[in-house]
Amino acid sequence: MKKNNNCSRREFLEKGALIGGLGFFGLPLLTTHLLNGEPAPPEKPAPDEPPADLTKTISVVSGDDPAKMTALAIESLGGMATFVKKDNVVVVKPNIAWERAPELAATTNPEVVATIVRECLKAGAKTVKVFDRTCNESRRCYRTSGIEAAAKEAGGEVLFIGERESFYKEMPFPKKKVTWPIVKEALECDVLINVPIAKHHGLSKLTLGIKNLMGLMGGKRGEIHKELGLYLSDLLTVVKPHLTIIDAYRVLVSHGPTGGKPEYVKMARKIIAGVDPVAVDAYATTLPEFGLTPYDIEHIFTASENKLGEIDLKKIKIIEKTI
Amino acid sequence: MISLRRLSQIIFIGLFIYFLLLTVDPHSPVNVFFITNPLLALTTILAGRTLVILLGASLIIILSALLLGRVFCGWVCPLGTILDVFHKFITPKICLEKKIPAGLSRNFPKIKYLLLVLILSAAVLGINLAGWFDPITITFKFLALSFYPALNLIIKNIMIDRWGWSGLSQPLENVGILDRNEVFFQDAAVFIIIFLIILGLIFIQRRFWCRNLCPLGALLGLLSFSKLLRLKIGTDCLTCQKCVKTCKMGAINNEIKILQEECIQCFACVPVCPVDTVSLNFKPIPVLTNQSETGFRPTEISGLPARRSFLLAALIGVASAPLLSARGGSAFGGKNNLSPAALTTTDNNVLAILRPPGALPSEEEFMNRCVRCGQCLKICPTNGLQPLFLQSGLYGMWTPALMPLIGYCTYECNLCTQICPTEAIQPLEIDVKKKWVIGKACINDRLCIRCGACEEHCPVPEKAIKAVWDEYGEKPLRYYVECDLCIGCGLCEHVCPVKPVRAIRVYHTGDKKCFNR
Repeated sequence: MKKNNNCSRREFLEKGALIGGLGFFGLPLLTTHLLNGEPAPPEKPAPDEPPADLTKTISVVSGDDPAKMTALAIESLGGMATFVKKDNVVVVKPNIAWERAPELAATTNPEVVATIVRECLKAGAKTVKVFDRTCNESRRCYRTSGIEAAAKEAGGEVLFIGERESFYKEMPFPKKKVTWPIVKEALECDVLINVPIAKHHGLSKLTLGIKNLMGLMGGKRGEIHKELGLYLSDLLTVVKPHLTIIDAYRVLVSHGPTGGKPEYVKMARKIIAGVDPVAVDAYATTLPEFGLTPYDIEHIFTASENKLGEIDLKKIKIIEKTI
Repeated sequence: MISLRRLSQIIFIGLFIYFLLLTVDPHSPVNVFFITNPLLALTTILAGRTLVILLGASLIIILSALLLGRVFCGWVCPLGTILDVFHKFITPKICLEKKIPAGLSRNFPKIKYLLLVLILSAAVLGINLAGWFDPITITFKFLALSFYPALNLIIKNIMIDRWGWSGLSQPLENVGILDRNEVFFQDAAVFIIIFLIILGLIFIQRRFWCRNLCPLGALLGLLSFSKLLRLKIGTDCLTCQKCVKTCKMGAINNEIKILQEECIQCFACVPVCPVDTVSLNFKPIPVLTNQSETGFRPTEISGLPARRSFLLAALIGVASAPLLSARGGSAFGGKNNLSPAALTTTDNNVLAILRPPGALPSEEEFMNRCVRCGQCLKICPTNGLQPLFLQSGLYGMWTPALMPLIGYCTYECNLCTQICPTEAIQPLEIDVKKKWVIGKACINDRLCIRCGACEEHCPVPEKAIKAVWDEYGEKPLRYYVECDLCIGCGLCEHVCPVKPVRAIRVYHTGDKKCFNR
């Protein structure tokens, strides 16, 4: 009797384990397959090159509602449909580097990010991925900055970038003659939208669009600060943002890039958008809150030296609007 | 009853694992299994010489032992459940029990009482050894510090990366089985080895750990003197010994005498009796009047060790105090020990340990209060809290330390201070924690490459790291630490790109290498 009992119990356990295991591993696989449907066809309609004059244009919107300002800034450049075509995979790269509340202006305004995600989806994007390789612990940064919640609510897909090799692809840096791991998602997407926040930085004076792209670099990024200009212009040859939207609604004017006190924050109430990453950055340096010129920032100057964009604001058409 | 017990075991191990998975950043801290643990409570109160309110919850388990005996061992304990399950799977075809002389194995159950006496007598002298022997902490440390990171590694690196099952990652992350960060703990292999030894012992006896070694079981066994739920064998017993063979705890000996304090109320013996004379019943009768009826005479057949062994164990426990205590620990840890004396006199050759924020300021008090449960290590979002091995002496083994090379103390987080069951890490409000000084950062100017990463990352709003600029304001000449502002969070050391020795390092303020203090 004892033997019998034992046997059935083992059987029960084995079966239980089998079913449990199947459910445990099979179900997630199954559901994701069902949700994602068929894998996407390899050739996607690439977004058209923006018209020639668009590269020489930036739009600046002032106002009190960051979401509406962002929408208007995109509209002034011809609307999101100029950049995002149907079934495109879009990567929105905000600055989520620090674990700070949005009011402290160390991270991009979540409303700006949410608006961009919404505009992309409206233009027919298949998925909009939002991520950053953060400096503080990523889960906490995503949460505290409010960007995770805002982007998800807008319909975006929030990704976490880990430290494993599979997240990165080694890319050559032509000037420095080294290779550096770059986040794969940013290289494989159709449209890359760079959404930095304009703020003070201890070493490079300001951190704007080009510097925000550092969040796509893997490895130990600290050492590139020594030759920031060279490295960043190399980076700009590897990842070219199709659109840069600078959140200058709240700007951090000192103790950057982390800030941490409301005293360090000033209200500039501007959203700056453009195709040319250098021109957009160049304009942001001239904000009265910073009171600098584009030539004061080494990496912007180096990028223009390397013909990656236009630093001379006189050659740029600036569309200014106010809400 | 047996199926009811199994259900309870499944529920509680499920809860244990669920709480373990919840012991991670976004959730509120869950330490139910630790604050209800009477062994931890007793040793902490004795060794720490303080009443920790949180540990009052252990009265629940104490009460359950007084009324129902060792139900915790049979129905709740996750380690017991794991041993039961493993016994099912590898139903030992090899059984080493018969190879051990009966005279020896009869003495095995005494070990746990001796261990308990040792732990308690050491605790009276202010040495907290519970964390090394308590089954709950052993299980938690194995699961959280060794098994869970290994599982993550396998799922992430093999299943997702190599086999391309990327569909797994999101759902598993949502359930908490997959951590978004790569977690790693120093000396994780030690916990695996300890756990494998405990598992391996089931080849000798079923539930060898619970029968013979577990000090928590011993404590509950002693507390069960007044239990109402008692095993009883009637007079019409056939002495067929079926119940003896069934009992996984050896609570019924070969002469069909019952050792009440060994019984874990598992009910396995009740259905095997051919004449239905074995029963577990509520007997609301005091011990003495019940004796003749059940044949329970503690002095004769109880598994309690002799008085002499008790005294010996107590003596070992007492002796462990000077050998292990922070002050006397130099016998093991060399001069690496930090004693309060060294802190004030800034003795040479002191390698002070960076403790988590909120840790009791005196190293001695901290180690006496810490039960090495490993929850702070598990919950630390940056993986910066690591178990020590011998860095602060033998007694400091498995106490938490901040290791900036692996992770840092993130500015807006106070989770480790919230989860500590014994308040060795005092609960801090987030605003207090932001000002808590773990250590001070010191820059080695000869190694520094002036990259400014430390200044960039410094989370203190005023920036504890500042630059001296050249006359054009173009290039930083050197960086220095503003000592009064630095909280020693270790983020600067974590991001410093200089290899192999970081140009900026955080030292405990009691460390002679710490020139900023």
